[in-house]
Amino acid sequence: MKKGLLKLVTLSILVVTLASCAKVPQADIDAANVAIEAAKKAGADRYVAASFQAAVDAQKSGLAQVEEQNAKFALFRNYDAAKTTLTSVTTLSNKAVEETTARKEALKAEVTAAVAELTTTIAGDKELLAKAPKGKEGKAAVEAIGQEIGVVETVLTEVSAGLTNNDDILTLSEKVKPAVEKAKAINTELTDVIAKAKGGKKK
Amino acid sequence: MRFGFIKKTLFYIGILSLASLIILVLLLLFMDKPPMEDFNKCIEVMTKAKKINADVYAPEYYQSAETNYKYAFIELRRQNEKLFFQRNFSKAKELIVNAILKAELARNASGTNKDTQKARFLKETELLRKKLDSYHEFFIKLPLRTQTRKDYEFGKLSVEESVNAFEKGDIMKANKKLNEGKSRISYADAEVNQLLKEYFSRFPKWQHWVENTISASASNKCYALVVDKIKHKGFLYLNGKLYKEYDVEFGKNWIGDKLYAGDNATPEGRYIITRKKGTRDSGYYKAMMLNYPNAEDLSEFAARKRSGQISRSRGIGGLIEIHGNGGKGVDWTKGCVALSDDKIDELYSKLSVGSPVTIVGSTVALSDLLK
Repeated sequence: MKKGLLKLVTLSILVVTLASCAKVPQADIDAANVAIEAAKKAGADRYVAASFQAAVDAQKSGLAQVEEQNAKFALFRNYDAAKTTLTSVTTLSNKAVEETTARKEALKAEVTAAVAELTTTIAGDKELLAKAPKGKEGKAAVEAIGQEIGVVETVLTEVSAGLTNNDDILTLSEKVKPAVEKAKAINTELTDVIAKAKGGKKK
Repeated sequence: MRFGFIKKTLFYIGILSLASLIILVLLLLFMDKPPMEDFNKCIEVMTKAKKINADVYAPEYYQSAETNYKYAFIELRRQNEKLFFQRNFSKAKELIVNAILKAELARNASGTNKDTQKARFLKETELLRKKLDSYHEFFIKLPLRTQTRKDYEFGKLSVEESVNAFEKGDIMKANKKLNEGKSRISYADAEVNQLLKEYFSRFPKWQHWVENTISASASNKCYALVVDKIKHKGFLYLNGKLYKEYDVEFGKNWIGDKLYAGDNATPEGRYIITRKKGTRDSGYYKAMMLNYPNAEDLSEFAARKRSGQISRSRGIGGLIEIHGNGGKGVDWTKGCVALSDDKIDELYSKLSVGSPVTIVGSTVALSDLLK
């Protein structure tokens, strides 16, 4: 009877002690990891680097807070702050994914517009090339400019294919801009050559 | 009896609990504490470092900070898995302090490196752009292979892509594209350099001709024209001083000396004007005939024939003039020097029969030209 009472008291103390120990918020840790991975997969680290970094920093802080509590005596652990931080990781990651999608859409619109501009400019270049001084007077120059148009056309084909294949839009954006500038420069050059040739014939 | 036993038992439990509590408190007081402040500080410093792109501009320090942080965290977890009185965070402390140090170094170095790299990148791209711009005229006119022109154009586009990437802060991509561009341009460069190097072997002779022509203009107090093929310019001198310069056009095979009749090349040498033709006499608005071939041309032509460089049936050609109808922006003559009509009017009024006209490949050395 006495022994039984003693066992009961000891067991009760043990149960209360164990029950009052806070648990590691593993579900929150896992959710934060998944969210960060999803953001990275979406390309947030490249498209919205600052937002992505905020999520990564929050993850680091959250995990450090978990370890800070783990270092304490079991009875004194409290993971509430860590949980809050880890939850914010998911929020920040989701926000980064949303921003990435918006940035990609904006870039896609920019590239599509640039492709249209490039197509028009190349067509204009070709028209001007047809009007450029021909025969022995300008054959070499016309050939050289024709080759330059060919190079810009290659870029146009690559970027258009990239848009269809959903290639990295950031790379396509960087690629198409110099090509548009080049096509415009050819346009100016040809306009100049044609004007010069006309000017020469007047006298 | 029973009450005494309970009392005794409770007394022992109490003593035992008190002793345990004292031991626990002592252990808790003296147990090793994790360096959480350092961990938080490290996260803070690394965030600041990352914000100023230390991972790009001081990658070695930043990577080292990341690695030290990673191992410090692993060590922290390892110690936390042990019983509290067995924990020893000294290793984790050492690693996290090291991580802070590296992150601080990355932060400090990033600013300096960013400025240095930016300045270097901008200087490099500016030089490359200048070179490409100065090459543009040559490339249009030089007899190059199609692939060479393509390399040159793709190279130019890569340089511009690189600038775009740099402006967006993607330094790695910017450097990659810049190297791609440089590599393609260098192929074209090699061919151009080869062509120009051979051509410029005659530079000492040209230099001598130009000096003599300018001296003659000074000593005879007259106008003299120096034509620079590479620059596509005619430099008019008066009394030995540069008076005016004009854009000029040549035959389509302008690189190199004239070898024979019909080669569409413009001759190089020291000449004089032998005849002036007005609008009625010239098919090219106005013209000034040169004494091509001169004695040196005739002697070189004979030597080339003897050596078999030129077939015996070829003639040396003639009727080389400075005439109008130019300003087309292309090299189109059969070997003459063409100017726009308003410019030939100007030149026609300054030069007279007997005026010296010297035609050279270049008035500046190749090394200066390629700078």
